[in-house]
Order: sequence, then structure tokens, then C-alpha cells
Amino acid sequence: MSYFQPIPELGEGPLVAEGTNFKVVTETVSRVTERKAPRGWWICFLIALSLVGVFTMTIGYLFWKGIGIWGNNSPCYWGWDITNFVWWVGIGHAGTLISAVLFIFRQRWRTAINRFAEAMTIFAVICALIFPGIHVGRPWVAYYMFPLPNQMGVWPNFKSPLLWDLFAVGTYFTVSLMFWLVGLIPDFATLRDRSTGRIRQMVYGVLALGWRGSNRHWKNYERAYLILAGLSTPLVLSVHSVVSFDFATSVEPGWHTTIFPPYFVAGAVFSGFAMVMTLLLIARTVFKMNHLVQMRHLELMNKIMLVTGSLVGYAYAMEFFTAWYSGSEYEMYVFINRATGPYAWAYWTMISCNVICPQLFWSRKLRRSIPVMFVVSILINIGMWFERFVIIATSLHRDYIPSSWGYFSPTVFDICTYLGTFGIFFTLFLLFIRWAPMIAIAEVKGILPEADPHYDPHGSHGAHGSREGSHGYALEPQGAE
Amino acid sequence: MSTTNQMSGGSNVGRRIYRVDPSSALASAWKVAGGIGLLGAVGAAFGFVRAHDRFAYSYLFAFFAVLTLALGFLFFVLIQHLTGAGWSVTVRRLAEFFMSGLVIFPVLAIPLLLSTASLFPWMSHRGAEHGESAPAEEHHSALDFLVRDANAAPPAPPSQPAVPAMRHGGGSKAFAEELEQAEHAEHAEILHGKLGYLNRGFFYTRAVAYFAFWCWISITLFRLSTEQDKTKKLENTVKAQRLAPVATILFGLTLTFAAIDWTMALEPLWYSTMYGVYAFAAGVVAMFALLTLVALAFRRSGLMGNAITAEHFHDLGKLTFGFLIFWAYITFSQFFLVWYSNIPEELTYYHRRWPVHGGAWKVISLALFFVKFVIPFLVLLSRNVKRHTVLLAIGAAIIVVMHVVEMYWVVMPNYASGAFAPNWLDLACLLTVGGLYLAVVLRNMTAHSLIPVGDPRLERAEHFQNA
Repeated sequence: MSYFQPIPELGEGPLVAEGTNFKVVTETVSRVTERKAPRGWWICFLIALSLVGVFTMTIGYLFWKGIGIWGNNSPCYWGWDITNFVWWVGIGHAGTLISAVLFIFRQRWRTAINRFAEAMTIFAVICALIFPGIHVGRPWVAYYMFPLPNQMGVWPNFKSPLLWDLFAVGTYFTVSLMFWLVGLIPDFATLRDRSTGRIRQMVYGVLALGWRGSNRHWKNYERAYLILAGLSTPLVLSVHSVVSFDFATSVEPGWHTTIFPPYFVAGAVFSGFAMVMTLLLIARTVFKMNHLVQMRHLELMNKIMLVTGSLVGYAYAMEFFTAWYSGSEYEMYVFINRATGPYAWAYWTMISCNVICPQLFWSRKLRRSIPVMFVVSILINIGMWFERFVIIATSLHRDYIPSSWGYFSPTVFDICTYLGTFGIFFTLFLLFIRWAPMIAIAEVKGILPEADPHYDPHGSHGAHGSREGSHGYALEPQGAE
Repeated sequence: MSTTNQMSGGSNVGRRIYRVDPSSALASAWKVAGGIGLLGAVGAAFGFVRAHDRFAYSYLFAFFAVLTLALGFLFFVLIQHLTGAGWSVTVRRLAEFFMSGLVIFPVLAIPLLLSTASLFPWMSHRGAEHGESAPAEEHHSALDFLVRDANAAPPAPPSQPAVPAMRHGGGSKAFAEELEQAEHAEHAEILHGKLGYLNRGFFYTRAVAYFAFWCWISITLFRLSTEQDKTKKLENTVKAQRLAPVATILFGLTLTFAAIDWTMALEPLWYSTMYGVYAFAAGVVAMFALLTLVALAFRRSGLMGNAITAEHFHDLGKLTFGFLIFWAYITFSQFFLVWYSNIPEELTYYHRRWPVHGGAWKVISLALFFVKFVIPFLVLLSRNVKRHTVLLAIGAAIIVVMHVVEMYWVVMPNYASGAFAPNWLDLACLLTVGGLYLAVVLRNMTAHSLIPVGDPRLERAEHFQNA
């Protein structure tokens, strides 16, 4: 089995800290849901809940008055509403990438972070879905989003990317939710078995769907998991590609460019990882999970951010180059205006946060520094929000006719709506942390030495002790520095 | 895991020599490939002298089709080092052989670089990057191809048949000419703005830079890997892993701009931000398909022993499948966004490849979807197929063949009137480039071990399972 041992010279190492065993994993993760919530949790929860209140009031007023209360104007018909929508959908992508794509690529280090990221996906998509629902300002015709004929018998335009959005994001939400719930089954069973109260036992019992951990259960479970991973993988690409079509199918300079689909996907994964990182660093510290979520995991996440950040940088560069190369004065103007016009501040915020900042992660030292990665992850989140804002606002605010040029300034209601979605997101997230196992217990156990059928705790090399095929250590390969 | 492996303690290393027998047919295959290449070169040389314009396009097609494949192999090797992959060690050397063939491309590029005047009419604009406008006469001669564009280009949406009819059919002849000239002048002006990038000096400088990088990285990675066969030093792996990140970035940039320079600039007024990604996707999916085929052939020959197992084919099949979807995604997105927005200056690319000239290109366009994507997609979907070799080979072979067809489809609609007119020179050039490239690859195969026997992760790859 020696060849499955990590090779430290190549930067490989075990995925869980020394001395971590089944019991430690179960205890560490389950006790968060069993003990009384710490005071910090309550403080955060109440803040988040207040923001939900702010959101509810803002939306109520929005429905009463109409979207005139936002900063949207002519020619900026879209403003923060769609910016927030795209941003939140993007945040969700990391979850699917980690749970599905990394699963398919056998990246077993994902087990430490996948549950967390998947939950984030679902909550982020919920926040995102609010915006298409409200951005038309007429909640009583929200059903226009669906492929249903209206009272005049007119169907929505099937050629409209906005309709495809509903299909794409709706499918994404459904599959992500199923994936998350299926993954949770064995862990809910663990919580059920540890429950002391009757109600708790019943609730987790229902959620665990009668899981007994039998061989047959595991077999079905793993097959279902693989199938859902396979279904989710194309969704990682399709959702944000369809979102990018909202812009790219138009003939608006700055929006209409062929690289948009993969560029949006890369950006989505980028921002999603940043958000996972921000939340994970907090949770890891608060709930003392350093032995499960190790520096190795964080470092790998930083590498993914470096890769995706560079891909986004490539897309910015290609857009700029092609705008010049196209020879079209409108294309050129939009990009020069982005970099030097009234929104230059937003553009350069975007460039510094998204392209320059992640380059810090070339350094191994900075990549392994918690304060640095925390700050960078937040900056990336800001940068990715600005990316969407820059795309939307700069392309719209100076249209073909200079006499109709304008400028978008957010109102207090724009800000409150955006903050309000944070409230929704964090409320859901804090509830999740409190009531569901935030790390995939069963999956982390799968990468422990004990999970090996030939695991020998006493180190004796008997008949079974040195059998090969042992995956006693799941390896984490690591690229060069 | 097989019983044999368990009994032998799981180590094949040091006991087996994965080498081509010097007396076998494979050992002299490089001579055959080289011979075919030279034979093709004779034909191509004839074309170079007698039908230079046609030769230029045929050669570009052959060159680009093989180059994208070779660069795909470079990408494979880079990504294995970048991720520190263990499963792929036993197939990595095969990819390295194909990567090592990149060194011959500077030589193969010579006929291409001598033919640029036939391919890129903007080449004749010397000194224009300093902003001085060339004399009108010269403009005219150099930009004649634009007239051709103007004839082929205006898209004719079925809803508005009147516009092109008036332009080319109806109306007075004088009016049509006037219109054409106006369009011509406008195009010339746009092109003039691009001469800062599209000019002879910069074009050649870039070409030299691309080749310098590709040769350097492929020689370095190949040397690090083959050296390790004897020394078994970990350092070589460490060095390769250190090189990988920066090299991957340079790879992406060189591939993008090479694709822009050598194929997108054939139609200098057309542009697409996706083009570099498209060239990448096409090269990588074809590479995975070819790598699968080569690995299958070697396993069948028995030279690989048990080093390549069903597990490896399963993974290669998955990657081929995955990148096939990626290729389809990129290709479709590019097409879709252009088609949907329906802007004349962007439509020209697909217009050339769809309704004009009796629809021969349309058939190929459709084949790219149905034959390159749908059929292999259905074939490769199943797990059993990926692990059992006959259907896997068929799926992979379709992709490789369609890659060549696709590159033909990329280059040839720009030649002359854009009609679909295959020529014997296409084949001669393909044999030249493919034969000489393969000669280098096969020569290296006979000189080195077929798997990286000194790689620290080799045993892991030998025993790897798709768990």
C-alpha cells in the first residue's frame, strides 16, 4: 500500500489531521446541532433577521410604489436588480462545482467543504430568484415569468433569454436541492441516532428516509449521488451561460460578445469560491474545525480562485483586445468609456479586486495566511459584484444617442433591497449551521484511515495489514508553488 | 485488482521494460511516416510552385489541424503536472511523445510563412502601423478580396429578400457598383485601423515567439520526464510541477493569438472574443480522442503489459466525453450568439459556411453537429463502452477524423470564391505535415520507454481504480 501514501516531497499529505477518527468527526460535526447555540450565533441571527425585516419592508414599498423608487432610469433600465441577480446566481456556482465537478474528478479533499458549499448554493439561488420576480415591479403578473399564457391568451416570448433564465435557474435550483438532500441522508441518520428528544428523533428520522446504513442502502445512495453529480455538471455551465445570454444575445456593445458564456461561468465559480472561503473561515474558527478543514483545503481553494481569477482576467483582456480589433467605433467606445468614463472607478475596482488581488496567491506564504485569504475573499466578492455592475451600467448609460446619455445612482431602496437579500441568505445559512450537519460526516469518514477495510490500528503487518488497494490515505495532489 | 498483482506485491517497476523492440515493425514506423511525409512534400512543393494560392490554403489547413492536436497534447502534459495527477502517469508518456513532435513545427511553418501574401491580403500594408495611409491604388489591389467578401457576405434573412436583390440583382448595374465601392471603402477604412496588429513585422515576430515557447516547453518537459526514467529522481517531477502554472498561462495566450493570427485573420473583418477558447476546445477534444486511440493500439500490441487498464480507458473516455461536450458548448455558444444577434459584420463567418455556394459547407456544418458531437456523445455515454474498447475506439476515431474536417471547414471557405472544392493538394499537405510530425513522434517512441518508469506516482497509476 506504500504507493498510496502521500509523497511529502511532492507536496502531498493526508487530508485530515493526525488522530482524527470516526468518533472525532461525528462529535465535532454533530455537537454543533446538539448544544445550545453560542451567543455569537444569536447575535448574527438577529442581525440577519433584522435585515430580512428591512427587505420585507423595502419590497412592500416597492410593490406599493413601483420600481421608480430604485435608481433605474432611462437609459439605465437595468441597475442593481439584475446586478444582484447575476451576482447571487454566480455565488451559487461554487457549491455545484465542488459537489459535482470535483466529485467526478475524484478530488476527495472536497469532502471537507462540499456540504457547506452546497447549502450556500441553494440559499444564494433563492436570493437570486427574488430579483427576476420583483424587478418588473408588478408582483401580480409575476406569472409572466412562467411559460403560461396571460389573460389575453398571449404566451411569453420563447425566444427571450429571460424566459430561458427561468428554466435554467429553476432546473439548477431543483437539482441542487435534490443533490444536497440526498447527500444529507446518511448524516441526518447519524443525528437521528444521536437524538435524545422525541421530536428531534422524529424530525431527523423523517429526513433520514429510513436510512439504516445497510449495504443496499449505500449502494443505492452512491449510485443516486453519482447520477445527480452527472446531472449537475452540465448545469454548472448551463446556468450562467443562459444568464450571460440575457446580455450577449442583444446587440448592445459591451454586452454582445461571444466569450460571455464561459466568461460568466468562470466568474461565477470564482465568486462562489470566494464566498465559500469567507463563510468557511468564520465557521471553522467559531466551531473549531481546524482538523477537518485544514490549511491544505484552504490552500487548494485559493489555487482555484487564482485559476478562475486569471480566466476572468483573460476574458477582460480578450474583450478589450477584440473591441479594438473589431474596428467598430461603438465597441471601442464602450470599452474606453469603461476604463476612463464616469464609471472608471467601478471598472478599476473590478480589475483590482478580480484580477490583481488573486495574484497574491502565487506566493505560498500568502496562500496559507488566514488573514490574507479572508481579506482577498471579501475583495473578490466585491470585485465580482462590480464586474456585473460594470457590464450592466457602463453598457447602458451611454447609448448610441449622446442626448439620451445618463448615469445610474442607487437610491436607498436599491441598497436596502441588496442588504435585505444578505439578510435572507444569512438567516437561512445560520439556520442550516444550527440544524444540519455542516460538514459531510459520512464522506469525511470515507477518507479516514479507518475507512480502509484493512485498516490495522496496531500497525501489525499481518496477513491483511499490507494488502494493497488500500485507500487509507486519500491523497491530495498539489501543484507547483 | 488482479490476483497476479496482489501476489507480486503490486510492483511492476524495474521488472518490465516498456520499450519498442528495435527489430519490430514499430521501430521503423517513423521511417514510413517520414517517407509518406516526404512524398506528400513533393506533391506540396509542386503545388507551391504551380498553384501557390491553393497551396497556401491547403497547407494552412493541414498545418493548423495537426498543430492544434499537438498543442492539445502539450496541454494534457501541463495539466497533469499542474494538478499532480496520479492516475494518468502510465499514459502520460504517450502524450509526451506527441507533445515532443512540436519541435518540428518551426520547420513545417516555413512554407506557411512564405505563403502569407496569398492568405492574408493585409500583409501588403507595410508601414501602415505608423499611421500613414497607403496610396489609394495600392489599397485597391490589396483589398480586392473585400469585394469578394461583399459579394458573399450580405446575409439574406428570408423576411427581407428585397435588400440583397436590390444590391446585386435588381437596380441598375451602376448603382450596384457604386454601392460596392462604398462598402469597399468602408471596409478598407476598418481594416486600416487594425494594421497595428495585422501587419507583416508583428505577425512574424509573434509567430517566432509562439514557436519559441512551444519548442522550449515541450523540450523541457520531455527531457525532465525521460531523464527521470534512469535517474528516478523526485526533483524532475518537482521541477515539472513548478513549471506548469506559468507555462499553462503562456500556453493559453500563445494558442489564443496563434489561432487569431493564422485562422481568424483570414477574414480580417470578422472577430469573435471566443475564438481562442474555440481553438483550444477543438484541439483538446481531438487530443483526448487520439490519445485514447493510441493507448488502445499500444495495449493491443502488448507493449504496455498491464500498465494501462480498463480504468485508464474509462478515465480517458470520460475526459473525451467531457471535452466533447465542452467543445459543443463553446462552438454552439459562438454560433448561437452570432446567429441570434444577426449583425451583418459578424454573420459573414457563418454565412460563408451555411447558405452560399450550393450548400456544401452547410452539409459540413451540420455534420460537425451530428457526426462530431451527437454520434460520439451517444457512443461514449455509457460506462461499459468506455471500459470496453471497440466502441470506444470507434467514438474516438470519429472525433479525430471530424477534427480534421472541422479545420478544413475553418480554413477553406476563405479560399477564392469560398466554394467547396476539394483539391489533391489538401491531401498532399495533410500527408506532409502529418507524416513529418508523426515521424518525429514515432522516432521518439523508439528511443524512450513507453511509460515514465521513473515517475514517483507510477505505481499509483498502475493500481488506480475508478472508485
